Amino acid sequence: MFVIDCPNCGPRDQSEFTYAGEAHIARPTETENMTDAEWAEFVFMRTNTKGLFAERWWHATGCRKFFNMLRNTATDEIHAVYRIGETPPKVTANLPATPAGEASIGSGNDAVKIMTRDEEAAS
Amino acid sequence: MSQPYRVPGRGLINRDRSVSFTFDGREIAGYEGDTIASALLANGEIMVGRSFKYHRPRGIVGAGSDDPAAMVQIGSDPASTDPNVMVTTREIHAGLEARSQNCWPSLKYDVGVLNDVFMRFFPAGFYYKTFMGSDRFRWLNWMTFEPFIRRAAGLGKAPTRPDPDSYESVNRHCDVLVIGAGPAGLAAAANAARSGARVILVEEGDRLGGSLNATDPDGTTIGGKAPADWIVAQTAKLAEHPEVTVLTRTTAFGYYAMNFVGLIERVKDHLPEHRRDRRQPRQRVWRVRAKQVVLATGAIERPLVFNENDRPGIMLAGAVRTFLHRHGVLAGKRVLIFTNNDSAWQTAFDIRAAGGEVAGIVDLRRELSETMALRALKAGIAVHPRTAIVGTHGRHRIDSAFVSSLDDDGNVRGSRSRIECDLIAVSGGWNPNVALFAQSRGKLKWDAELASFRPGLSWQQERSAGACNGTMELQEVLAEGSKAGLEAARAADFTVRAVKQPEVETDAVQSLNLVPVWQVPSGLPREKTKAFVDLQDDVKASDLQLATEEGYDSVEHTKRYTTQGMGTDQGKISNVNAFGIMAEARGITVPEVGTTTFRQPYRPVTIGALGGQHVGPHFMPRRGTPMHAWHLEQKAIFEPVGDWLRARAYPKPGESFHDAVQREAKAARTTAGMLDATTLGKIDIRGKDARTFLNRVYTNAWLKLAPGRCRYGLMLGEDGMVSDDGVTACIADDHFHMTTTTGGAASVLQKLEDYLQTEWPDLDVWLTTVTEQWAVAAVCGPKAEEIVASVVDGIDLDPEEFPFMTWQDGTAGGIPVRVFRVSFTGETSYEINIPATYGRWLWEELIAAGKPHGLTPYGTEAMHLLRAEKGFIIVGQETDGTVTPGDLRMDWAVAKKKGDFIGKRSLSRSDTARDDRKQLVGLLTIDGDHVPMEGAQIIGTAEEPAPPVPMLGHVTSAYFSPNLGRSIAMAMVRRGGQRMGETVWIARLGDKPVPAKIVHYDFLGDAVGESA
Amino acid sequence: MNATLTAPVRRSPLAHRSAVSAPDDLLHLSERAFDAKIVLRGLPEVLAPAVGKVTGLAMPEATRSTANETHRLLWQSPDEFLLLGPVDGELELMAALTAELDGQHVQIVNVTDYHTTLVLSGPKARETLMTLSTLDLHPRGFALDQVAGTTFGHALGWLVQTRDDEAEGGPSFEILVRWSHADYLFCELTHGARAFGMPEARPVSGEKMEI
Repeated sequence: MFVIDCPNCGPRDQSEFTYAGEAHIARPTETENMTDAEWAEFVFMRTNTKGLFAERWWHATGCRKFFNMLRNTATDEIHAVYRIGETPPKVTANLPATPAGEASIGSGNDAVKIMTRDEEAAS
Repeated sequence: MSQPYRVPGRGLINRDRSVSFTFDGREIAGYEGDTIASALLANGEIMVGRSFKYHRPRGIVGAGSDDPAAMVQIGSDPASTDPNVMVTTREIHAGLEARSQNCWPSLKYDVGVLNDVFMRFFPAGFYYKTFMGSDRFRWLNWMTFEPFIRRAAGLGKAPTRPDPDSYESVNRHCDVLVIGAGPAGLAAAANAARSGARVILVEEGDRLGGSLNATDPDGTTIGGKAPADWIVAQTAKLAEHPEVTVLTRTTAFGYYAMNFVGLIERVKDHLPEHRRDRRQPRQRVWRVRAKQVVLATGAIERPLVFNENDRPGIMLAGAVRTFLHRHGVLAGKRVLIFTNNDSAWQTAFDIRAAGGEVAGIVDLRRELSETMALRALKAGIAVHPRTAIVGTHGRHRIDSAFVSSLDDDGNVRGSRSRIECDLIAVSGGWNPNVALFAQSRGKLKWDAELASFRPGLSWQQERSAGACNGTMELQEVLAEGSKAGLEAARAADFTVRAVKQPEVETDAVQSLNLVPVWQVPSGLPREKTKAFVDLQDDVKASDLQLATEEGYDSVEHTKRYTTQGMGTDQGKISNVNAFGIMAEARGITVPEVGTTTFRQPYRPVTIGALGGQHVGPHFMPRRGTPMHAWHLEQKAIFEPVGDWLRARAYPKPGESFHDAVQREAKAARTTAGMLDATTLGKIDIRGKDARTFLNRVYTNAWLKLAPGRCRYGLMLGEDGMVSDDGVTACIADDHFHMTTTTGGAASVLQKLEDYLQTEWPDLDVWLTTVTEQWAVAAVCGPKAEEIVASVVDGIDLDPEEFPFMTWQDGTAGGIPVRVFRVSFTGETSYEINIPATYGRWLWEELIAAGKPHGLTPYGTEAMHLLRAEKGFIIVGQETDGTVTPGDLRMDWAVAKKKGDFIGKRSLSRSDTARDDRKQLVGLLTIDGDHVPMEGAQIIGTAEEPAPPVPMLGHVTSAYFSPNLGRSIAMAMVRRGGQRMGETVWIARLGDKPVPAKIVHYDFLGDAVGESA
Repeated sequence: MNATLTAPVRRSPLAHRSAVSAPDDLLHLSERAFDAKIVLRGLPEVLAPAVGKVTGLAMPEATRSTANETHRLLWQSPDEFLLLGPVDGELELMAALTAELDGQHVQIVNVTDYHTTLVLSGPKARETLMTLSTLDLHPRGFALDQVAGTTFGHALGWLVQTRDDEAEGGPSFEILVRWSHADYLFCELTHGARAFGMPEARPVSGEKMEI
């Protein structure tokens, strides 16, 4: 269970929130002029990022406001919450080196259970 | 009862209070403060159960929750019996009944032991190879064999009746959570507490002190105090701080994201029945959200892996010390020590000091510390350096060990000699207990001196202190604990000054000088060596080596193939040995092999405790309307709709459900019927842009709907599929009252808020749910007007004056009501909305007023039937998320000319616009008495062809209509709209397809007439 | 008016329950039904003059409430507030606020019957709430006049602390809970307080489901 820092209500348990999908996907306005493929891109296609991902949450039991959140999906680290309409802040994240890889720490997955020699040398 | 293994004057048990319990029906005597294990050992019993696969005798190995296999079944009541309880953690009390598990007919004479005789034929992966790997035994056969294999295996028996005990879960926030109340944890908690921080200190055992309770009380002082006195002083200091919570008999079982830690408190298990407070739960789960965590979980000793090392009587050297100092029990009369490090020597010294006999110290190392050797000499203990135990003897308890000396390469040299002993105290080193650290997703680091993993890089807000951090010397452990407590409090924004540390004086062996030996040589060929690694799952070193030879390189795959580290103990004492053996087999280092995943829970947690108080009647809210009690009084049959419980039908005494539905549906069209429609979602919509908003969320046009009027609307997703429907009334130009389906109420509001907040923030519209503000009674039928007129004032109810799809305000008994002339049955209908607190009153007034007119309350089943007669859809019954308005042949509800609305563009996508989609039609079976099954497939031939059967669609709703005197059905059929009058067949499982005619779905229109 | 009608009877969602207490005044739980309850949607600066004039209350800060002897105003979101007032006062309040806010971009909705109010007070009130709520309910985490919309077990509700911990009788909390969750929550609170000697209320059940 995460703690999510609602921009209106402050830090609350994840059980109060509803996930609401990828952020920053604006609904097209001139839909009549769009091709099927363009429209399908809006309706169906999402990026499924491993790494830093902007997503929307809804504080269902509290203020009932939607807001944006920057989460590292590789580690579940929450880097920022910001309001609808705002641009995502710049953050430094512990990202996977490759799309199929692991963040250096935080996923608990096999590849990063044990410190590397470089990490040992640095510590 | 003599308790011949009890040592006078030792132990922290209460010798003034004798306690006896039963083990396999025999009475066992112990004292208050004993565990089942210590009481059994005091009475010379060491064998407790049999192993999982080979049914080999298993004894007590550890002294705490690390013990792998000494488990019993507690109690025999089919409801409350508790399987797989570790004898090393369960405190005894009067009335406790323990039984050995996994053996039949008795512990000592077990039929399953045949598996042991055939051990050579059960190598790693035996079941997979035999039942899945070959062509002869494919999956189907695995299914056949599995139940038999599972029955032969298995541990304790699960209870078969509902759990009579109660459980509870509670939430807590704290600044510093300290896990483990040994010297490091006590120091951490005391230092954090001084800051005023909210501190929770968790101890798995029944008393604070941890490893200090397993230390010779005469050999150590802390700040000049005996260990026990120091513990008392620390405890007293903690008690001075009101923000400190100390939980004993509590295990931190899971470390989750963002410092969320699950604790399981065993509240009453240690108490006899008559002392259990009925108001307290049996166990309690604490869901703790901590700003900072201090891990002080100690270290777990690992055994040596040697031939015939699984006999009862082979125990960890540290456990022998724990039983001696904590429980006053010396587990053997003649104890042989077997070790590769210094720590086990302390066991020899402690046994001698307690007056016991040491058969010798067998040490794998060549280089031994001179001071220790001298100390052994003084104590009269024989020392065998560079020697190994290569075999043991004794069926239900060892009686001797065979030892051989080793050459420079570590191989067995020369002949075996026999040493008589009834206990072997063994140590292969100490593993920092990093389970919670690893669960927190921290990274481990290999410590060559310990030959084990310890915490490396932290990921969450935690720090490790003491033995779990690889720090073994008491003075350093206390310093590290104090520092961790201070740092944690400061990191949680508290201010605290360091204080002077107490000086430790001890003659205890604190050095390790460990020489790792992952598998002790036996001088025998591999297939004849029974060197067990995992005592619970019967995994031998040879199984791991075989798996490696077969190509299992990944540690996770090897685990699954051999079952190493599975089961209730999760390999606490065995995993590092297993990794070492795998590393040797592959010629790489242990950190290169890696570790398996340390999963939650750290130790088994009763499912009931996880369910907490949310069981039985407390499982979920049973949402009822203000009229709910009336429905209950009428003995209605209910159905769940979301969390709501709605009356489904009101059978009269002796009447069947089917007959009740038929009667109710008939009455609604011939006299009058009344439905509790309270659960429909209701949203108050207000703002100057409300019309524009509705125009965008519904498929039809809303700009011209006049105040006082109502309109039906379909709501789509952006994919063009129908997601909800309902009637919305115009209250004023800028004010609307929307209704949604019962199940869709919450999701529609979320969706509407989503569009308002994120896509159209420029629209001036407010939304507020009023679902439960109003109780709704829907009265319909020929007599409805008369009945409503005798209750509602201020409205001319004549349908001419109060036409269909309008609403008016009136009063009932002086209470304001709002009446909607909308209908879900096709009959003249009045939906009366009254503030919910008057709902029950209104309902009863209507029932009374309707009595002379034959008013019949009807439930949701008759409602479904009545709407189907009229051909009204139910979202979620006719639709399934793949159905467009066109598919429903409801194009009339879609305004082609208005601007954009949600899902509009999707209606012209090539897939949604194609003309061969399934469409909603009515079906009349040729045999009017036959009611097809909902969900039945529709085919185009009278006989079912061979598979794959071409299917045209399926039945969505089907009823026997009392008003038409025949069956009616709705169905989605390919090109259905173009097939009016055609015959199709409804497939039946194992029966002949039933012919039916496609008709328009308004059965009250001319559909039935046409077919006749 | 139709002469055949009986006099209207108003029933609260917990009309079938009576107030319960744990021994030694450790805890009291009761329903306070029929308070006037009005949702106000709009920006606080738009609502403030009307609210001040009608109720005498200032607009609350985020996650707080303001109160006087007759009214309490709960913050629910930056543009949503819940006004509580005297029993049977809802229509009068609605009318007064509507008149004051005429022509403004606001919404005024009567939700008097939507919720009921559970009052939980006494020295063990916080611990009892902790059995159901994930909020930080320590006095350092939740204080007088604070407000939170959250879940209590599976029920939704708005929690507000209305009496200070130091006051005689200990802290008092009110939970505004929707009609259909009220019985569940009432029972869960008594269930969670068993350890303090609270008599346990069992949820209404016995609905026949099977046919």
